[in-house]
Amino acid sequence: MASATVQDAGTSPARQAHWSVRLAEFLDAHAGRPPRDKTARLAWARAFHADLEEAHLAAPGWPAEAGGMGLDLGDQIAYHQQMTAARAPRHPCGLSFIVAPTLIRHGTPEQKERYLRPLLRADEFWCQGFSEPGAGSDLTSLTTRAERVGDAYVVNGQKLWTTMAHLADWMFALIRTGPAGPGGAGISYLLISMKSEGITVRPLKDISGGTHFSEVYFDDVRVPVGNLVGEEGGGWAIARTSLGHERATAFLSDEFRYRRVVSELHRLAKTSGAADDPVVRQDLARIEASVRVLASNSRRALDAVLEGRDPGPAASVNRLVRAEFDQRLHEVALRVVGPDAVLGQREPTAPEGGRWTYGYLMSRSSTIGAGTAEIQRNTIAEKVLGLPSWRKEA
Amino acid sequence: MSTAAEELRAYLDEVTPALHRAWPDNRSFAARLAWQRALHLGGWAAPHWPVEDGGRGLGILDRLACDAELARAGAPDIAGVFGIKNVGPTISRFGTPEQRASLPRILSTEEIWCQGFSEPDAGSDLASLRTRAEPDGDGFRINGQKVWTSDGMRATHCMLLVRTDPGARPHQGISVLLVPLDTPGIERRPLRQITGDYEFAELFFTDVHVPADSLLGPLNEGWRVTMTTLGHERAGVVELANSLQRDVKKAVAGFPDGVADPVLRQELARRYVEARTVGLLGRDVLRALSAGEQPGPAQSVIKLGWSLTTQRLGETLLEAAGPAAIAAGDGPEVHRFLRGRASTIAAGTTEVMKNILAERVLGLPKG
Amino acid sequence: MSAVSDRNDEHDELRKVVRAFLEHASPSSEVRRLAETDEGYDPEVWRRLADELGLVGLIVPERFGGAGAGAAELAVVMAEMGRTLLCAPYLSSAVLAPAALLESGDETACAEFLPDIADGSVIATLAVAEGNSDIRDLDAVWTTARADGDRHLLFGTKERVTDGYAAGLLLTVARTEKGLSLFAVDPEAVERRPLPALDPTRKLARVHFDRTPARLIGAEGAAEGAVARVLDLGAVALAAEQAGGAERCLELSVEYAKTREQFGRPIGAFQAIKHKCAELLYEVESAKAAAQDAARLWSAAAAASEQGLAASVARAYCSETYVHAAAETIQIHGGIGYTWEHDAHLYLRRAKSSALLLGSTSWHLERVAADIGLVPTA
Repeated sequence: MASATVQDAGTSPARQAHWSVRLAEFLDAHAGRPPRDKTARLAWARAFHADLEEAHLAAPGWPAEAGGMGLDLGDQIAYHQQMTAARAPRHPCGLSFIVAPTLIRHGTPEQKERYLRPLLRADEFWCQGFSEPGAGSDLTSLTTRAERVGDAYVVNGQKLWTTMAHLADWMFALIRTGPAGPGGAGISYLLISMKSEGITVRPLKDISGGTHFSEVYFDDVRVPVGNLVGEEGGGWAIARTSLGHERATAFLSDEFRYRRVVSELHRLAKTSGAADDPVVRQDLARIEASVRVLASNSRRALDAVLEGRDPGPAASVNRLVRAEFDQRLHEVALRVVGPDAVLGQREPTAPEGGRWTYGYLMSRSSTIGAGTAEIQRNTIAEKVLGLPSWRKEA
Repeated sequence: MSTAAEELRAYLDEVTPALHRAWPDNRSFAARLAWQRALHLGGWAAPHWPVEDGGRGLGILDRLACDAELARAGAPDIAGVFGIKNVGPTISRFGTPEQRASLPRILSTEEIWCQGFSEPDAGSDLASLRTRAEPDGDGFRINGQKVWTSDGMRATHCMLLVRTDPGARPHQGISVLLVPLDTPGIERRPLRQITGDYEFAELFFTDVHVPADSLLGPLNEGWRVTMTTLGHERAGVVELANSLQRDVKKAVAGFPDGVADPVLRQELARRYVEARTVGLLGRDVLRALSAGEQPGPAQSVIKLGWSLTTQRLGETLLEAAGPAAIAAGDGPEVHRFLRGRASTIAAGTTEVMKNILAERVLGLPKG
Repeated sequence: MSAVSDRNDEHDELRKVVRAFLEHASPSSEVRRLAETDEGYDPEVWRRLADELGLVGLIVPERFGGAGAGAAELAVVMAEMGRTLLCAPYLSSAVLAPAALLESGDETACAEFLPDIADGSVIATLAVAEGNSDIRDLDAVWTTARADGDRHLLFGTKERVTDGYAAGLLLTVARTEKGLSLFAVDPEAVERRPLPALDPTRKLARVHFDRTPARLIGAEGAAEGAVARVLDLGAVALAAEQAGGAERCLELSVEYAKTREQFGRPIGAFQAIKHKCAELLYEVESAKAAAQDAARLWSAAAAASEQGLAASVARAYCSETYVHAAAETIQIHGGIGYTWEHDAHLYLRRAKSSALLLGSTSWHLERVAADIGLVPTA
C-alpha cells in the first residue's frame, strides 16, 4: 500500500528533506512549457502527475494511509501556492477528486487499494454520472436504475452532461436501486467501468466547439456488487463527501489561478494600451477588487477552519461569487482585447491565441454546471439565511 | 401642436410669470395649490375630464400635448393629484348626483383627496386587504388601518377600499367608501420616509361611522370600481415615459461644462439612452392609441423601465455631483438618490411587476 | 413631441414576407452549414433575396436599379435577418457598400456599380478598420494611396472586413496627401484571407494591399465625413438586426421555460426565471423602439446631428441588450443551452461579435455624451 511505501522511504536521506524542498526540486526538474498540441499536452500532464505520485508529492491533504502527504492546512496552502507559481499542470482529471473523498471515507479496503493510486497518478480517469436528461438541477428525480441479479447490478438508463466520459476509465454514478423517497432515498453509489459491455458514450459538443461532455447510455450493463460504495440505497448521503479541508484548499488553488489570470489580463491591458482608457481601467480595477475579495473571503473561511470553527457563510457563497466573477472577468477581458476579440482561436493573429474569446464562451457554463446560479441562490437563501423553502408551498 | 395645447400655452404665457414670481420654489404644497387654482380659473385643472364635469373633454393626444405645455412652463405637479387623476374619474363614472357634487370642489382645491388602498399586510397584494366596514344602522362602521397613504396628511377626503364581505374570495367582497377625513374616529399620523419628508400618512379607523350614501358604486364590487380608473393608466404610462425623458434632459442640462470623468460621463450617457428609449416606448403607445390600435407590450414595460432608470439616475447624479453633495444636507442630489429607492417599490414593486409581465405578457405559468 | 406614423401596414407586410421567406431559406441547419464555409452564404438564397424579394437593392435608388426604400424598411428586414441568423453578405453588400457609393456623390461610379450590387450579381463590401483599432477611429487608418497615372496604388492592410473574402467589389478608405479618400478595388488584385471568427455566421476577412491598383471614388480627401455617415447607417441597420436577434432569444427562452420541468413544475413558474424573462422583455421592447426610432430618423432625413445621436443610442442599447439576452438564453436553458447543437451559442456569438463591430459600446456612449453636451470643450 502507498502508505507503507512512504514510511519505508523515510530512511532515505533525500526523503527526509522538507516536502517543500523536495517539491521545489521536483518542479525544477519538471519545468517546461506545456506542448501546444492537445493530445501531447494531456500526456504531459499525466506523466507529471504519475511522477508526482512516485515522488510522494501528490495529494497534500489526503491522509498518508490513503497515499497522500497528510499535510496540515497551512502547509496545504503553501503547497498549492508553490504549484501555481511554478505553473505546474493541474491534475488532468479534476473529477477524480470528487470520487476520492467518498472512497477514502466510505470505500472498502479493497476499493481503496484498487482505485486510489491509479487515480492520483492520472493512470485512470473518472467521470461523474449524476445528471440525467430529466434530472439536471433536481437530482433526486433520477431514473437510471439498477437491479440486483446474482452478484451484479444490471444498470439501464441514461446519463447526461457527463464531463470527460469519452476519456474516462471509470464512472462514479448515482443509480436508482429502490423507490424514490425523501432525502434521495433509493439511490446507490456505484463504480462502473466505462469499458463494460452495454455502455455507449455519445460526445456532445459544447458552445466553444470542444467536446467536454457526453451522453452515456446504459443497456443491461453489469456492475459487480463489489463496486457498490457504502450501503445500497445510501448513495445520496455519501455523494458529497469532502475530505477535511479539501474543498477550502481546492478553492484556494482556483484563486491562485484567478490571481494569475487577472495579472495576465493586466499585462495585456498595459501592453495593448487598453489601460489608457479610464473606462476599461476602472473595469479592471473592479476585477482586481473582486479577485482580492475572493481571496480574503477564502482566507477568512480558512482561518475559521484552522481555529476549529465553522467557516460560516463565506464558504457557502464562494462558489456562486466565483462563478459570476469568472463571467465578469471575461466580459472585461474582451473589452481589453478590443475589436480583435471577434477573432476565433484558430486565427493565428488573434491576440494571445484567442484565449480570452474562448474563455468568454467557456465562462457561460460557470453559472450552469454543478448547480445553476439560481439553484445556488435558493440554497444560500434557505440554508444560510434561513429563508423559508418554496418546496413547502408546493 | 393641438389647438387645445395652443390655447393652454397662451393662457400659461399670461399667468406663469406671476406664479413664478410668487412661488420661486414651486415644489411646495402651497405653490402647487396656487398653480392649481390658477389653472382652474382658466378651465385647465383637468382638461381631460368630460365637459359636464368641468373639464374640456380632451382626448389622450391633446391631453399629453397639454402635459408637455405644462412641463415647458415649469408647472409643478397639481396639488390635488389623486383627486384629479383617479378619484374624480371614478366618481364621474360611478357616483350618485350627490357624490358628483365633489367634482367641482376637486377642481377648485376645496377638496383634496387621498386614496386609502395599502395596508400593513397588503402592500403589493391588495387582495389581502383587512380594513372592514360592517353594516351599522343606516351606514357602515369602519375599523382598520391604512398605510403609505400619499397626501394623507393634507387630504380632506379619502377614497377608501374596505372589505365588506369577509367570506368572499380575496378580490371580491371589497367596496369603495368616500370618507371625509374629519369624521370622528379617524386618526392620522405622518409617516416619515427615508428622505426625511412626510409624503405619506398612516390612517387609523376606530369605529368610524359613515352614512350609507358614502358607498361609491355597487356593494362588494370595489375591485372593479377602482380598476376602471386604471383605464386612464395608458395616458399615465405615456406621461411617465415623457416625464422621465424630461427629467434626464434637465439633469444633463445641469452640467453645462460637461463631465470631465469619462466613466461618469458614459454612465450619464447610459441614463440618457435608457430614458430616451423609455420615451420612445411611450411614443409607441401613444401612436397605437391615436391610431385606435391596442398598444403592444411597450405599454406594460414602461413602468418597469421608468422605475429602474429613475433609480439609477438618482445614483448616477449623486455620484456626478461630487463629494460636496453628501455634505449639503438634504440637497437635491441626496434627496433624489433616496427618493429613487421608492421608484422600485411604490405602486407595485418591480418584483410584482416582473411577475405580472412574465405571466400576462409572456404567458409563463403562475408560481 | 410630434405625431408619428412610422409603423404602418407596409412595414407589417414586408416583415411578414421576409419572415416567411427566411423561415424556410435560413433554418438552423442552413446557418450551421454555411457557418462552415469560407464564403458564408448560399448563392441561390442570395439570388432570390435580390430577384424575388428585391431586398438586396433595398436602399439603392430606383434610378440605379434598386427599390429606393429608406432606413425604416431596412430596419424591418435586418431585424428579420437577425432573428434567423441569416448567413448572407447583406450588411456589407446591401448596406455599407451602396451607402458608401451614394455618400461619395460620384454619379459615374454609382451608375457603374450600383445596378450590379442591387441585382445581387456583384457582392460588394467596405473595408475600413486597421490593426486592432475601432472601426470608428478613422485616425487609425494608415493605408495609403499614391497617384499613378489615372489610378492610385494602395498600400496597407484592412482587418475584420465583413464578407471581404466573398466580395467581388471592394470599397475601401485610404489616406492621400489630401486626406481620407474612398477607393474601389478589384478583390482579385489583392491578397485576402478568411479569418476564423468568434461568430462564424458573419464572415470576416483580412485584406492586404501592396501596390494594389485602385480607382478613386468621389473627391479626393472627402471620405472622412462620408464614411462616418455610412458607418452610422450601418449602425442603424446593425442595431435593428441586434434587436431582432434579442427578440428571438427571448422567444426561445420563454418557450423553453414553459415546457422544461424541474422539481415537478415548469421552470418558468419560478420567479428567478420569470424575472429574467420580464427584464428581457423590457430590454427587448426598448431595443426595438431604439432601433426603429433611429431608422425612422434616417428615413425622414432628419438633421444629421439627430441621426448620429439616434444611431449611437440604438447601438449602445441594442448591443448590450442582445448580449444580455443571448447570455440569459443559455442560462435559462441550462446545460442544453451550453451545447453546440443548441442555437443559443450562435446567438451569443453573433451578439458579442456584433457589439464589437461598427463601433464599440464605449465609442457610442462617448458619442452620445458628446452630442448631449457632456464632453467638456477644453
